[in-house]
Amino acid sequence: MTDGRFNVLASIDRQIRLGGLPPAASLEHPGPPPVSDVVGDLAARFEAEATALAVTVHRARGDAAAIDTVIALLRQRSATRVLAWDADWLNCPGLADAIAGAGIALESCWMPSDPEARRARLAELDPVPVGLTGAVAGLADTGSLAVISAPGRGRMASLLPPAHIAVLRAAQIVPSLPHFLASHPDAADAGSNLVFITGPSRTGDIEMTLSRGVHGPGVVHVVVIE
Amino acid sequence: VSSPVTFYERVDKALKDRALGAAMSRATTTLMAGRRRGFDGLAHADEIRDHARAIRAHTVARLGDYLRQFEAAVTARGGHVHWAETAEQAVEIVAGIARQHGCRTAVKSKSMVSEEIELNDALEKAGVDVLETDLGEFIVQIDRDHPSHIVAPIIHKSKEQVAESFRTKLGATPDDLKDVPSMTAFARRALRAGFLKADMGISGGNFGVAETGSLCIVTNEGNGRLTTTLPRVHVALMGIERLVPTLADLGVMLQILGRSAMGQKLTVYTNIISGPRRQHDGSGESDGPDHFHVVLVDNGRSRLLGGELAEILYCIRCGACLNACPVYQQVGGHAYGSVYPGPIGAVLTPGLRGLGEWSDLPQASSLCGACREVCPVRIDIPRMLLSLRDRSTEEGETPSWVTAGLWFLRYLAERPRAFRLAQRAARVASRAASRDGWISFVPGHLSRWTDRRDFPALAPRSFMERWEARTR
Repeated sequence: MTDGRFNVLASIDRQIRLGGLPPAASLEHPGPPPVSDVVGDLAARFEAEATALAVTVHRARGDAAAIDTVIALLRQRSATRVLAWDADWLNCPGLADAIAGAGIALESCWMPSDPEARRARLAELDPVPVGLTGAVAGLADTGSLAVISAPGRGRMASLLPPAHIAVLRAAQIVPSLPHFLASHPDAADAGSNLVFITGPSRTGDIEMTLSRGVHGPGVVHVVVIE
Repeated sequence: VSSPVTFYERVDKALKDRALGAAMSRATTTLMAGRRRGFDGLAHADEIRDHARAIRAHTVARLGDYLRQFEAAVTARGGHVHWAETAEQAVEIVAGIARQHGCRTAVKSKSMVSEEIELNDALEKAGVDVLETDLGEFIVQIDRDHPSHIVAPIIHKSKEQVAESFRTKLGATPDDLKDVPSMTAFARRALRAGFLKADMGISGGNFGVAETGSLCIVTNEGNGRLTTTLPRVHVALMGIERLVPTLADLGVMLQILGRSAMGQKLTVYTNIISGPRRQHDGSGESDGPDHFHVVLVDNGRSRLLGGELAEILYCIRCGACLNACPVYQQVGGHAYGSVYPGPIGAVLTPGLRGLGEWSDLPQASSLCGACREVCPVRIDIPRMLLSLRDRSTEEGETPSWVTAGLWFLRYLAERPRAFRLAQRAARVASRAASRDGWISFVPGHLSRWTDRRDFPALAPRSFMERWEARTR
């Protein structure tokens, strides 16, 4: 389709040369975006914003408390399997071992390339009731999780099961999306997928009536370790 | 989508549909209230909107350079970029990708470009089953309907209508239909089955980032993530104008997109994809597609550059102008007859496809300016509606009775005695036709006015007569 490429670019360049762009003070790039500071306790703001979106935030004092919280949540959902990131990425040393020790199997997000094998693997993972991930950051002013998928950090753990548990360290919470992008300039290169998760899956398509969990997890727990 | 029914006939039908009126009123009121709340909580909102506009203006002015940069960055991350001049080329490219990878089933997340190029029909003909996975679009698909809003596709339907479709077409039980959350859960099960077996995922693209070759897709439901994660092939369709230079610029757009569309600080899943999953010899990223294709669709966009409609290319498809428009609020999206309804559609559709059969759309506005007021990137839609009206007059697409009427008016205005005579005649007619100072029926073409509004009766004495009386 080289012709398409040539013709589209030729048309763009010709039309722009014709001039007559709409009135604007300047067509230069406006520079770095306006960023406003979030004042006060970032973790408190994160908790307030996330809670308003129906996310359950658990503040844990130390790793041991976080491990207890996660295992209690898994038991609450009668999970025998959990779709999880590799231990190194869960933001909580000892968590993966403790889950395995509690008799809950940790499933990886591994997907084969072969079409049939892929379908079989998906059918096997679809019934897993809970996904478990870390996160690269929390965004205080929107209550969002910033999640990067990369080796050991599959996309499906925060997506496929009906419930998602994320473990975050309080120090990872930044004021806002612009702050995150400024402090993580490599965010798009660290893995093939960067996603900001702001609350549980929702839809208002039918009569503007809110329903949760239409495709992604309808239940989201964030364990913040202080 | 065009039909032999005229715009005015569609408007009349919409206005008589009470259920539609109630649905439109509920939806647009909810969305507008959400938008206000969303912006209330944003510090420096005006500054951010100005900044966003400047980014769009800059990008569109250097579109060729940024497209080349985007292409190079996508390719460097293992993706493929395709260029489509026309809708036909775009669907052919997607069908070709399906053939190349042996894909028979596709899941699709919401994409207005795919509606514009009528992708689903073409893929079905090419032997690929397409499943729409956005809840609203899924309902549109099973009803063989068309979306009536660019963000909320079934804004025109009631839950009873949806329940009836689920019952008759998908065999839903009364338990599945007892309330909206149950209906949503039913749809989740039906669609999940499709996701688990699909070979190909088709998405739109809210933004492309030139610097990193990233594609940003926002959804609240998560179908955008499933579509771009589970199948082994991902194809994204994106209009050529949808770029921003950097990730920081994308951050600015995201702050205003969710707020303008639904009143959300951020859309639930703001998904930024940079190439296929990264793998080397079987190790690397565990999931995600093995193949990533971006189809850049022109289909009339480049022709808008350098002209008076170029500003419409700044649009980020939030839908706020639809919700704010008093005409859209009354008639809904289907009355426009075009893929893109509302104020944005009234400019974009004649812009992309020519005035021809779309010459009525720029008339579907009171020029009140509400669209310009709410537009997150401050697009001057009324200016472009006026220039399209001008153009349509110049191209001779004004009805002959209007042209004749204006000629007659000019004839009288140049002849003072004839003018006064006509005034007197009009006054006599007005007195006969009016009651309590209002005329509620005028025959002929002017009945289009009086069908919906009364016209004030002419004053007993004209301005000129009063002036003469004063100065005598």
